[in-house]
Amino acid sequence: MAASCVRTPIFQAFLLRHSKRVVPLLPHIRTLRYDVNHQEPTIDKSKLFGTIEEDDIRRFKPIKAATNDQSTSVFYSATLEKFINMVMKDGKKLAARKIVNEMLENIKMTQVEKFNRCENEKEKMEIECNPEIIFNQGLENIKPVLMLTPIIKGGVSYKVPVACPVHRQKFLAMKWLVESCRDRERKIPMGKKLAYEIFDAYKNEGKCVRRKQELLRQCEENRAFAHFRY
Amino acid sequence: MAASMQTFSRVCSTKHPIKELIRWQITKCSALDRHKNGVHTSCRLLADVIPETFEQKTENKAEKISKAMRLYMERAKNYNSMIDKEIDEYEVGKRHLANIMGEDPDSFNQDDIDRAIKYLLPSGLFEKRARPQMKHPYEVFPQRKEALFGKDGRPHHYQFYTGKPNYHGLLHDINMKYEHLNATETELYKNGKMAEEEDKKLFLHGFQWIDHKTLTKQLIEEISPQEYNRFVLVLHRLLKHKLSYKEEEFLLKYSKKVMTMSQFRSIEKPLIDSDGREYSEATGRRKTSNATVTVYNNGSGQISINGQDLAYFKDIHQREQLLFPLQLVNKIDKVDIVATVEGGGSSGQTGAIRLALAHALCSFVDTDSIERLRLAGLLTKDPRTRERKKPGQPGARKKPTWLVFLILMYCQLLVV
Repeated sequence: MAASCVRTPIFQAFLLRHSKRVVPLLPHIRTLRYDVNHQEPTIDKSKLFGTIEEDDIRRFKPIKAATNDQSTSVFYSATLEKFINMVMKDGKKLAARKIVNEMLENIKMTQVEKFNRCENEKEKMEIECNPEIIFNQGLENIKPVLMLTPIIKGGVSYKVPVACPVHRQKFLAMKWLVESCRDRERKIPMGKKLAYEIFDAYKNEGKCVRRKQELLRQCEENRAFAHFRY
Repeated sequence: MAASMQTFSRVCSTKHPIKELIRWQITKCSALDRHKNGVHTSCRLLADVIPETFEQKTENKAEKISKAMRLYMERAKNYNSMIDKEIDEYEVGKRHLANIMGEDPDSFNQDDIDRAIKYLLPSGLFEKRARPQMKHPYEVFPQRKEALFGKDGRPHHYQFYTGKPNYHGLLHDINMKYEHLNATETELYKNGKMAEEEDKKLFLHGFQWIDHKTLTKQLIEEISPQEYNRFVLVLHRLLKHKLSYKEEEFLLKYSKKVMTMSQFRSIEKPLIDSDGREYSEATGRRKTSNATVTVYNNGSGQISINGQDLAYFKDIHQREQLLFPLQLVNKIDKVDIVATVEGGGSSGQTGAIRLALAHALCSFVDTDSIERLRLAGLLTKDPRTRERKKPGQPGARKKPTWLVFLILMYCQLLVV
């Protein structure tokens, strides 16, 4: 309980105020194994080969080790790696990776089939065959712009609409995607289910997009409480 | 009452009113002198009465101040003489030590002393501060401030009564400089000469503010972390001013040059094989795996792990991990790799080999590439290991259901 409490930003803020540390503690740290001074590694090849200024903090601080999933190869995608982690259960990375690869394969196959069947030149050009692009676009369509946070005023807890931060948007989109797939029938493999959901999201239809729209509708209903944020 | 007030006002016309009042009060108290010379003592001045009580008190006060000053001077003198003696002993001892070690006593510096002491008096104590040391007395004995107040008891520093005159004086100075720069700025705006100052903004690249301990040493006062934070804030504010280049000297006094992380790394030269091939070795660890990697320069991209090909790792992503450092420095088909790894699982072994490989490659690439490897996180050992299971819990973080947990804690308390 105490250990899980340490990771919350509230506790970190508490430490910041009450500690005698001269260097402030960061609220979002990957693990507690690293010293506070350690900086995140740069995985983007263009940034590594680009200009890094003289007084850039990374020159003066130690860098964390790159994880076993990160690499500068062309096939690396940070969003996909995060998604694999969200699909993973009980630490079974291989199974999760297999599922996500199947999803991408399914997306690619359907699109290529469509491409080959299409006779109209114009329409052919518009068919997107890159599964990563379709996945990213689908996620974008699921990301909610606003979210509801409980704020207690005068003993009553109100649900106040608040701008959804970027990292939370990403998380919610992926979470809803995975949840909606897990709720579906078990006979269909997970990879296929994910592909179906992504296609729906790409077209702005389907369960996940409906969930996002539901949330935005609730935010609209509660807009009277928006000033409670301040 | 009115009559006495009249006399009092007559008396006070020429002399100091309060002193006179005090004298008056004292005379009132002396009951023996009530009716001396036919005049009521309340009307008489202290000059007519034996002024023993009042003058004696002032004399004692002056004596006390000078006594404090005297003691202060004595203590300072003793301290200085003690320090001088210690310094003489240190210098003589340094020369003796140089003679013992057979080196030139004139050019024997502190590093040489440390080396000599380490050699002559080896210690296995873990705490380095408990080991035998020979340092200059200024480093051993805490520095003391000079006389804080003069003979008359008046303090020299205008911030003496804050308790930390040097600290508050410094903050005051910085703020005064800031105000001065503000005034200069308004003047320049008035004269229309602000455009000339556009390019002169001061950036202290590669510099950091002096840390807490250094500031405490410099000011010879106990500075709390909150006070230090305030000091940094105020200094930073001065630095951010448009005309801060005018105070560059002052700002540099409170900054120190920071070493880039790349300067800590020594350039390792490659070794040469019996066949004349250049190679370099390195070890790497991840979780419980240990790997030793030998990288041969001018190769053709052959990889051998425990005698097997890259197919030693069945997962494509693990193979990709080995190629990560090679891809970054563009040496995929240009080096031969021989790796041995033991312990741990496949993922741990991959991480170990990757680390060792990255370190070994540093001998064959330029400093820019080494910096890139470092920024990509390939040269850092991953410190994450399996977290231990704790008693009273089924796992490292997992807890029993809340009620069971509560009962468990309660039982433990009872036992204790």
